Amino acid sequence: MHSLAVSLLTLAIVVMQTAFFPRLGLLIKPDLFLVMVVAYTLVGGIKSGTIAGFALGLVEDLLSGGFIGVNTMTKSLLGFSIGLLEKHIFHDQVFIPSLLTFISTILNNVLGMLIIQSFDQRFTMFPPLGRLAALALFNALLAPLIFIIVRRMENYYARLRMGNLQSQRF
Amino acid sequence: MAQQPRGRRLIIVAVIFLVLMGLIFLTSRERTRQSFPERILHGVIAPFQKIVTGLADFFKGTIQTIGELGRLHRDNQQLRQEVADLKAEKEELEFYRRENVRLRAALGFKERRTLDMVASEVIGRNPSNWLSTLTIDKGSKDGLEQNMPVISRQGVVGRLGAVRQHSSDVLLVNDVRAPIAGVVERTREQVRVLGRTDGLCVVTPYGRSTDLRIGDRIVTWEGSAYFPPGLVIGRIISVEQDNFGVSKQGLLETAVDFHRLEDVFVIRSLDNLPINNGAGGD
Repeated sequence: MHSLAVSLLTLAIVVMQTAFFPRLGLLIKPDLFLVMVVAYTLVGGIKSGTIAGFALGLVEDLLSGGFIGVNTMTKSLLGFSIGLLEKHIFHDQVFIPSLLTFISTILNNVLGMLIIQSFDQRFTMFPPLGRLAALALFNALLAPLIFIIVRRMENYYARLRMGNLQSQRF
Repeated sequence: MAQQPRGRRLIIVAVIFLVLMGLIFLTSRERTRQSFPERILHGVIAPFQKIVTGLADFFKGTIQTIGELGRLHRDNQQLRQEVADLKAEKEELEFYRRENVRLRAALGFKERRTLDMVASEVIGRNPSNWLSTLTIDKGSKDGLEQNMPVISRQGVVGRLGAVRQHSSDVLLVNDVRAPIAGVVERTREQVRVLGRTDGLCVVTPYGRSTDLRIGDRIVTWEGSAYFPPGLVIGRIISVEQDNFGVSKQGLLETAVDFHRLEDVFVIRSLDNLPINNGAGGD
């Protein structure tokens, strides 16, 4: 059941990212995959974060049609890095997911562009700073909402597992 | 479960890193065919993209309509009048068209080229911020093939990349990987249009041009491998000397606003001649 819920949430994120937000005609589209990775890391820790980063990055790469592995690499690395910090931060504060998402967006773009440039010399430009800041802000605004959805879903299934364990014991 | 030794974990991470690097290397070049996982994933999400695209249109349309209700009523009255006028004008134009065909035939002119086009809806965009592609709802079942040109009412959109059964990817004009051969409409000088990651394109003349001006319109070249001649690519918005100070190069804003693009046309053939399907750029 948990796997099905995670798959449905991922499908929703993919469709929102590739069809809903672009259709609204906004100048920038958020990176919902990255927001999900940060949310999963804060809720589940370093292992969940790295796995979420790898899986969501791979899905994003497979849908991009080129440079398969770039997002897989950057997002796993970010999931792992935020996971290292996760135990030291008080993530019930509403601004923590936003702040980490803002920083992660900038790191993800810089790192991704560096990897792409090392493989293809035609990519010579970094995204303009204003555009990158706007993207980071957009992601940061969406972060609390996605964090709450992921936390509620994971807490629900954790309680379900606990209930099953207790009923097996008695 | 026993904890994995640190050394073994490091080896696993190193292997994954090397595999990913290899994958990036292999997929950084233009490919004629998508991999099996890519085709499966696109196939699974395409129907959902189509539904959500419809929902987004409804959502956007409802908000716009509420804000414009009063004006719509006035426009409606005005448009009814215009339709009546245009009907009369259309009949007159039809008369001139027939006369034109007759006179051209009499003078032995070649008939204007006709394009075999397929209308298609944009159902998805590239999730990445680094690549400029979009997904349309027509594929090989509709007779589409890789490299067929894609246009809209405003001008050139791009050319087809990966083509699946029921959907295809379009490499946009401003994608770094899809250069186009164009000409400056004013001087007929041949130029190369190449995308940048910020959504604009760089226009580089093939010769040592010094006559490139802001506002110049760039259209597709007669000898283009993929595009019919004379389609608008965009306008020059700034001009600067190249790095060596020898010739000028311009910055082009595409004629098509890709953020608001909803419908496109894929050109299947020109006068029933197939489009060049060779790999590589213009």
